Amino acid sequence: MELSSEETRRFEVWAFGGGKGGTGKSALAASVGFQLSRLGKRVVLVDADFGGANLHTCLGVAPPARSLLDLIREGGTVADEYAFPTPYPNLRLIGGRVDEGAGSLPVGWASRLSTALRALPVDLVILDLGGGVAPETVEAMNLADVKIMISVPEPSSIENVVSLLRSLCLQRLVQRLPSNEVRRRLLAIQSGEAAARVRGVTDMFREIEEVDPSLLGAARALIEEMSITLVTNQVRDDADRKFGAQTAAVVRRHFGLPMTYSGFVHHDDAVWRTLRRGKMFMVDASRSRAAEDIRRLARNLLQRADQSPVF
Amino acid sequence: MKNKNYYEILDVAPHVGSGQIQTAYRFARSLYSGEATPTYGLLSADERAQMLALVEEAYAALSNPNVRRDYDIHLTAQGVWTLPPQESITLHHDAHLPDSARPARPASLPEPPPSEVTHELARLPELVNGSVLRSLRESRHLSIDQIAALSKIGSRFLRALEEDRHEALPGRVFARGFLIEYARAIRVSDTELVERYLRHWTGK
Repeated sequence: MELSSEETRRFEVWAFGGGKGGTGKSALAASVGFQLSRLGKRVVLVDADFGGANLHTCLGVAPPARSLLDLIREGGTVADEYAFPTPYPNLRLIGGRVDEGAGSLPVGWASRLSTALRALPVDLVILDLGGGVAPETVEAMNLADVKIMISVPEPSSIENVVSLLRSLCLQRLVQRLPSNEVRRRLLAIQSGEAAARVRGVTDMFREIEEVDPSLLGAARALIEEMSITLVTNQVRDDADRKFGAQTAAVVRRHFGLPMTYSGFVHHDDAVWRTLRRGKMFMVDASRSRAAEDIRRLARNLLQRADQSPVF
Repeated sequence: MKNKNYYEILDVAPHVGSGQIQTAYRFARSLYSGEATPTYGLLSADERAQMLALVEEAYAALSNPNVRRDYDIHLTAQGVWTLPPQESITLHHDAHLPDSARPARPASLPEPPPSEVTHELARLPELVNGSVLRSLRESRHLSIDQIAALSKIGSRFLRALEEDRHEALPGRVFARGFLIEYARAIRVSDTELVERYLRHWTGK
């Protein structure tokens, strides 16, 4: 498999998230990053799981001396100095801190980080986010060009994806719509009584329209321009294989979000066996079913190939 | 979702062939039938039931070439989209679905004897409104749901007909199609019933 010139040229920031812990976000971020680096893309993996950093483990390396938090706190603009080599060519790592949570991050950190990451002399930056909907996680998701949601085929997992998406959209609208009144209204629905009447983006649009109808078009554009895609991990049977396409359809139809579906990765004992030995399954179990799935998934993500059924 | 047209409910582009309608219907059914994990986690039982009913209604209409043609005309009249070229309409009509693809028709529906039909016909009043429809239906011991199964028309439309809520129907052209099917389901001469009902039409 070779990359087309178009695929090679494009620089992007991808974020792997999904709201729930234990769904395999880090393992997928590491293995997709690894696969794309093998195809010739220069990739930097970024451990943005504040307080739960373990991307280095997925790569089988020690935590780097300087972390993403250092980069953010030092207001560094040369992210290159924080990107440490891994045993694999074309693949570097900006690590996380295992001993420290996000705490209070300096104002404006996200846009400064975005600028720093975009100045990296590479082709692709992959952020591995933590679980939950903490503001810094949502913020990191928002700065990515492609938002990749990882879910296992369970109701609780997809609920978390949807609540992350909800926070993502709310934050985006609050930060970018030029109206204090609209902002106040949207902030009010983040919690409490008002939260119940706002489930999907469609409801947010309704709230905005009530305050200032002239901003509705801008609000729609802010949501529609997002590139959001779903990946199902730990698939075991046929029903699981259908899960991703079904979820994306429900999210599109009932929550008003533009979500595509990029494919699934099988549950595979080879993955945890190699992870337990501190190895990378793409290398040590390269012929496993999961590794096969990752190669297909990486290609789908690169080509933005929606796996949803077309009628 | 309730304000969406049948194509939107099935998430298909207008003008698609009957095979695609069927595939889309199967997918939508799988979403809302309660077996799909994501739907189970994201939508309430009520929402799923409501969506399933809408999906069935949409498929019943779009899988029936005659009803679909009327519906397309209706959408065109509303300016929702432009009517496809004649060839593609003919194409839909020539396409026959296997029976297995259609919603099952309940086998145990009572069939009123012909004599009763004649009797009722003679008594069809000059003014046919919703309550006349309902009493005709009830005299045949048919429920709304049975009429819905027989006519492939959604029960919310049937109720709108019986309650004279014309504004809740998708328009006069389509209401005519509904009434014809309704009349057939309750075994009444459709021309009389339809004309008399529409004389008092107040909707779009």
